[in-house]
Amino acid sequence: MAEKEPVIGIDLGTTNSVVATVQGGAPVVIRNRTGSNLTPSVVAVSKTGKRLVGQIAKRQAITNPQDTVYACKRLIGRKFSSQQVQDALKVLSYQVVCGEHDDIRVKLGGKDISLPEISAMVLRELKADADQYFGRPVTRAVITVPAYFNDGQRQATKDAGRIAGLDVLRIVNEPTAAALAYGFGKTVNGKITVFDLGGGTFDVSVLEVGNGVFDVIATGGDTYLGGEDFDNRVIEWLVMGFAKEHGIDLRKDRMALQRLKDAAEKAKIELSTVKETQINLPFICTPPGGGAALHLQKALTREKLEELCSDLVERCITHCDQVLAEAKVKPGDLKEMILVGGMTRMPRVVEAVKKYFKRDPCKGVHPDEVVALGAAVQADALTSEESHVLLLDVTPQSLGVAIAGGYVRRLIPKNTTVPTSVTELFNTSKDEQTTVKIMVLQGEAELAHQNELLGEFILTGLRSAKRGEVEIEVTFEINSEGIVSVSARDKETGQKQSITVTASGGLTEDELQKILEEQGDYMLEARASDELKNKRAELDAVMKEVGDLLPKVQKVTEGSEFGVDAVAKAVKGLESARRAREQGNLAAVSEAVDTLNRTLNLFRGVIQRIGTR
Amino acid sequence: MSAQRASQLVEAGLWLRLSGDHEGAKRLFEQALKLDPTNARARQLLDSPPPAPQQAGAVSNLDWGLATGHTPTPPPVGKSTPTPPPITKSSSTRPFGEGPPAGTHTVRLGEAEAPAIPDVPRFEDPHGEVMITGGDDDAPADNSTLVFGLSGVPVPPSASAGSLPQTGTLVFGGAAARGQGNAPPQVAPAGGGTLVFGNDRSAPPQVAPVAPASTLVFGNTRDAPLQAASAEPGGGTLVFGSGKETVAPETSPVAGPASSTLVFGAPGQSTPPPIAPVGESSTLQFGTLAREQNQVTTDPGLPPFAIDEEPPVEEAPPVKSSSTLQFNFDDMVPGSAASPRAPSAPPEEPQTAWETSNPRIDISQLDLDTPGEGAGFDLISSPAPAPKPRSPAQLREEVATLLSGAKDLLDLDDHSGAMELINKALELDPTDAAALKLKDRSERTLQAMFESKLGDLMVTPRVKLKDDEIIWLNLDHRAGFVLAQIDGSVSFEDLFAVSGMSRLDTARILAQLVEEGVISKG
Ligand SMILES: Nc1ncnc2c1ncn2[C@@H]1O[C@H](COP(=O)(O)OP(=O)(O)OP(=O)(O)O)[C@@H](O)[C@H]1O
Ligand SMILES: [Mg+2]
Repeated sequence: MAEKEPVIGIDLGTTNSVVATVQGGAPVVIRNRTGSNLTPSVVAVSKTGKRLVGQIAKRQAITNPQDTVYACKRLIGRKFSSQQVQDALKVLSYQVVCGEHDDIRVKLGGKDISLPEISAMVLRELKADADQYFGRPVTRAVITVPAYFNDGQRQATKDAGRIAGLDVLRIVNEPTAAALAYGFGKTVNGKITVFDLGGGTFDVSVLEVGNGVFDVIATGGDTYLGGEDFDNRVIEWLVMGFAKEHGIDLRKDRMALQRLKDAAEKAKIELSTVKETQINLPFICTPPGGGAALHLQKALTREKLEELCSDLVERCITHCDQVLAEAKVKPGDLKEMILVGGMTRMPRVVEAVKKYFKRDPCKGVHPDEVVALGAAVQADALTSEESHVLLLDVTPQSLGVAIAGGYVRRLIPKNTTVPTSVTELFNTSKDEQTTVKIMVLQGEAELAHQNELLGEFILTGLRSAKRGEVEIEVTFEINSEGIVSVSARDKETGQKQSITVTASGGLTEDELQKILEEQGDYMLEARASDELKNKRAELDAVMKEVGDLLPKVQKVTEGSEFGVDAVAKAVKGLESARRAREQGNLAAVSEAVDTLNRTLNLFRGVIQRIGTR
Repeated sequence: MSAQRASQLVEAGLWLRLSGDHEGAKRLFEQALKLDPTNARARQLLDSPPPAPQQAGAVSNLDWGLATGHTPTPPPVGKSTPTPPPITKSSSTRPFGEGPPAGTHTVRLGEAEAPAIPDVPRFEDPHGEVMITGGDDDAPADNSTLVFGLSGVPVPPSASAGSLPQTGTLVFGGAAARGQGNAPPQVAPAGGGTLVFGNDRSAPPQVAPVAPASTLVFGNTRDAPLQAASAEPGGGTLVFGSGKETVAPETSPVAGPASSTLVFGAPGQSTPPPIAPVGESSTLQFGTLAREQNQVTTDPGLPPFAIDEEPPVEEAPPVKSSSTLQFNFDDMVPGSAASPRAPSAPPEEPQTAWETSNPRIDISQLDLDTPGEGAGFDLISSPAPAPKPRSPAQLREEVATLLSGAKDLLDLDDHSGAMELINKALELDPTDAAALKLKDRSERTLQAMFESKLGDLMVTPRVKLKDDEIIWLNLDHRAGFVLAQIDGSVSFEDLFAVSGMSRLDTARILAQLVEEGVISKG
C-alpha cells in the first residue's frame, strides 16, 4: 500500500499557532524547530532587516514595536472601516493602513502587506516544521477559525493558506475541532459547551453534537480578554512595587517592559503548577542620573496572582451566562464541557468554570493543543477512504435581503448544511414602483446596516401598480463550494436578474496571483539566504586566515616592491570583504570569497618560499 | 471599481445617519470621497447637516427598502431609532474608549505637551497611556486644570475657581481613578498655582497659596491633608513624595516673604506640617526616614507613587535667615544597588532616583505667577547656563584637534577611546565629513573586533553563572537585557536581531559578557 500523502491540521491562533497530524490513528502535535508545541503568531522585521517569525519575533515585540505584527487574527478579513478594526487600531503598536478596497494593510519593514500574507508567514513556518517532520513537503491542510468568523474572514484565512503553499481542504470552527479531538459526534449526542480562554481572546460556545453534525448554537465572548490581560496585571503589580521602592516607572523603558512581560507570563504559567515563584530581573534599569543598575527580585504567590486577576475570571463567567441564555440552555443541560486555550490551565479558572457549569471538564487533551488535534482529525477524515467523521460544511452566518424599514429578512439561517436553496416572495413597498433593489446581506443582526453587504443588484421594468401588488420571487442558492447565488424574478413578466457572490477575504484574485508570484521570489530569496549564510561563514574563515597571515607576509616581504603591493591589495581585499559581508549580497560575498582565496593562496606560497628561508 | 465602492459607502453612510450615528456616517462619506473625489453626493452629504430625527420619512428616498416581506416582519416598535451594535470593551486594553465628560476636552499626549519638567519621574496610569484633560472650556484662560495621566472619573469642574484669574492647577498622574474617588475641585486662588504630580485620588482640594505662592506636590496626595502653604507673597512649598491618609489636619503653615519649603519624601503619621520657615530661610528635606514600619498594602489599581508610611519627620525649626539642607539617607535600601563594587555614595550625592533625577523646573515654562524679587523659587528657577557660542573657525579647530587625537588613539588600537573623541567632534559639527568617515571606519573595526571575540555567530551561547552570581556583576540595564535573552535557544546572530540595539552595541555587550566569563562563546 502506498503511503498516504501527509495532511495536517492547523490552529491559527491570535497569540499561538499549533500544527498537528494523525499518526497511526492518533492525532499528535508536531513540534517546531525550537522544540516547542506552540509557535507564537508573531511576525517581525528586525532592526537589522531580518524577517522573524514565532518565538524570536515575540521576544523583540516590545523593543521593536513598529515592525512587529501580532494578533493579526483580530483584523484578518475585516473591512478597514469596520468598528472592530477601528477599535483594534487604538491598541495596536504597528501601523495599519487602508487598502484599495477598504481592506487592511499593515506596514512591516517599510512595506504595505496584506493580512493574509502576514498569516501566511506564520503558516509557512508551521508548514516548514511539518515538512521537516515528514521529511517531505506537506501541501494539504485543515485550518480552524473562531465560530463567529464570517465568510470574508474564512476566505482570508483560506487565502493565507494558499499564499503559504497549502491547499486548504476545509475551514473548521475551533469549538467543533475541540469536540472532534475528544471524539464527540460518535460518542456524545446532545449539547456541549466549549470554554476557550486563549492569549488574547475569550470564546464560549454551545454546540449541538450528533450524527456527525456539529451545530454551533450560540457563541460569544470578548475579543479583548485573554492571557495577556493576566500578564498585564502581574506587570502592573511589579511596576508598582518597584516604583514604591525606587521611585522609577519601569514601563518607560522598552527593554525593561519587554523583560517584565516575559517574566510576568513565565511566572503566571509557573503558578499553574506551583504555589509560589520567584521573579528575578537583574539589572532591570539604570537609575536616572546614573549609578549602578537596579535589580527586580520578587516572589509571587498563586494567591496573589488570583487576587490580581479575580475580576478577569469573573468576566469570563459573565459571558458564559450570556451565551447559555442565548442558547436557551442551563448548565445542567450540557452533556460535556471542554476547556480550550492555555489560560484554562490556571487552577483558578478551572475552579470557576467547574463551579459555574457544575461539572468537571473533559480531561486528557492539552487545552492549548486540542484545537489543532481536532483539525488534524478532520484533515485525516477528509482524506481517508474510510472516513470516520463526516463533518458537514455549514453556513457560518445567516443570509438574507434588506427590506423596508431598514431590516433584514433572513432566507438562510446560519448553520444550514450546504448545498441548499431557498425561495421566498416579496412585494413592492411603494405605489408606482418600477424598480427594486436587492441587497444581499450576511450576519445575525436585525438591522440591515449592521450586517455585511455581500452584493446588490437592481431588478427593473416592474409593472407600475399600487404598492404590494407586484410580486417578486427571490431565490438564494449555495453550492457545495460555498458560493452563493441570488436571483430575483418578477413573477408577472418573468424578468430576472441575478448575482453570484463569493466571499472575499479582502484580496482580489489578481492581487492574490501577484502575491503568489512574489511568493515564488521570496522562496528563492529564502533559499538564497541559506546560501548566503554558508558563504558568509566561508568568508569569515578566509578573512581570518588572511588577516592572520598578513603580518607574517608583511614581515618577510619587507622592503620588496612585491611585498608592498601584495599587502596593500590584501588590506583592500579585506576591507571590501567586510563591506560585502555587511551588505549581505550573495554575489558580492561570493566574489569576496574568491578574491580572498586568491590572496590566501598567494600568501601561503610566499610564506612557504620566503618565510622558511 | 472605487467609484462603485464609494457609492456603496455613501449608501451605508445614509443608513448610519438614519440610525442616528452621524459620526459614523461622516466617516463613511469621507471614506467615499477619498475613494472617489468626484462623488458629488458624498460631498453634498458631508456639507449638509444631518436631517432632524423627525425626517425619518426620508427613508423612502433611499431606495433600499423597496421590497416588503411577503410574510411581513414588522419592525419592532421600540427599535425605531436603531443604534449601532454595542462594542465589547475591555477596560484593561482600552481604558479611554469612552468619551470624556462634558465640559472637558481630552487631548492625547503627542498633540499637546506637558510643561517641560526634566527628569522628574512622572507617573502615568497603569495602562501606559497618558491623557491630558482640559478644564471647562468657558473657564478663563488662565484658570485651567490640566490632568496628566488617567482620569477615569470626571474631573470635577473647577467652578469655584472659575472666576479667579491667573490660577492654574496641573495634576500629573491619575485623578480619581476609580470607585469613590471623586477628586475634589482643584482650586487655585488668584495668582497661586498648584502642581500635583502623582495620584490625587480622593484628595482634598489643593488649595494653592495666595499669590504669588505656589505649591508643587510630587507624588501621591491621596487623602492627604492640604499641602498648602498660605504663604505671603514669595512663599512656596514643594512637596516631593506622598501625603498620608491619616495625617492630622495641618495648620496651614505661615511663611514669611521669600521663604520656601521643599519637602522630599512623605510626611508621615502625625507628621508636623511642613512648615515653611519664616523669613528668608529655606529648608530642603531630602529622603525619608527608615522604613521599618513600611507596611505597604498593594492596591492593584493605582497605588501611590511614593512610599506611604513614614515616621514623623522630626525637624528642628529652621533658624531665621538661614538655609538648611537636610539629606536623609536612611531610605536607601542596602543591597538595592546592583553592584557591590559600586562606590558607596558620598553624602553630598544622594543616590535614590528622586534625588539623582535632580529636577530643574523653569518657572517661566510652568507659567506661574512669580514676582521677580524674593520669590520662593530661587532654588529652582535658575536657568541652565547657556553654552558659549563658538565662532566657526574655533569650531573647526576644535573638531580638527579632536579628530587628530582620535587618529592617534586609532593608531594605538584604542578604538573605544577614539570613538569617544569622534563622537565629541560630531557633537560640535554633526556634518563634518572627516569625522563621519572616521567614525564609520572605527565602527567597522570595532564591530569586527567584538564579533571576533564571539567566535561563530551561529552558535547558541549559554549563561555560565548562576542567578545569584549574576547579581554581583557590574552590568548596566542594556547588558542586563541582552543577558536576559540568552536562554539557550537563541544564537548570537538571533541576539543581534532581538536586542533592539544597533549591531555594534549588541556586539560590544556580548563581547563584554564573553570576556567576563558570564556567557559561553561560539
Ligand atoms: N500553564 C499555564 N498556565 C496559565 N496560563 C498559561 C499556561 N500555559 C499557557 N498559558 C497562557 O495561555 C495563553 C495562550 O493560550 P493559547 O495558546 O491557547 O492562545 P491562542 O489560542 O493563540 O489565543 P486566542 O484564543 O486568543 O487565539 C498565553 O497567555 C499563555 O501565557
Ligand atoms: Mg485559541
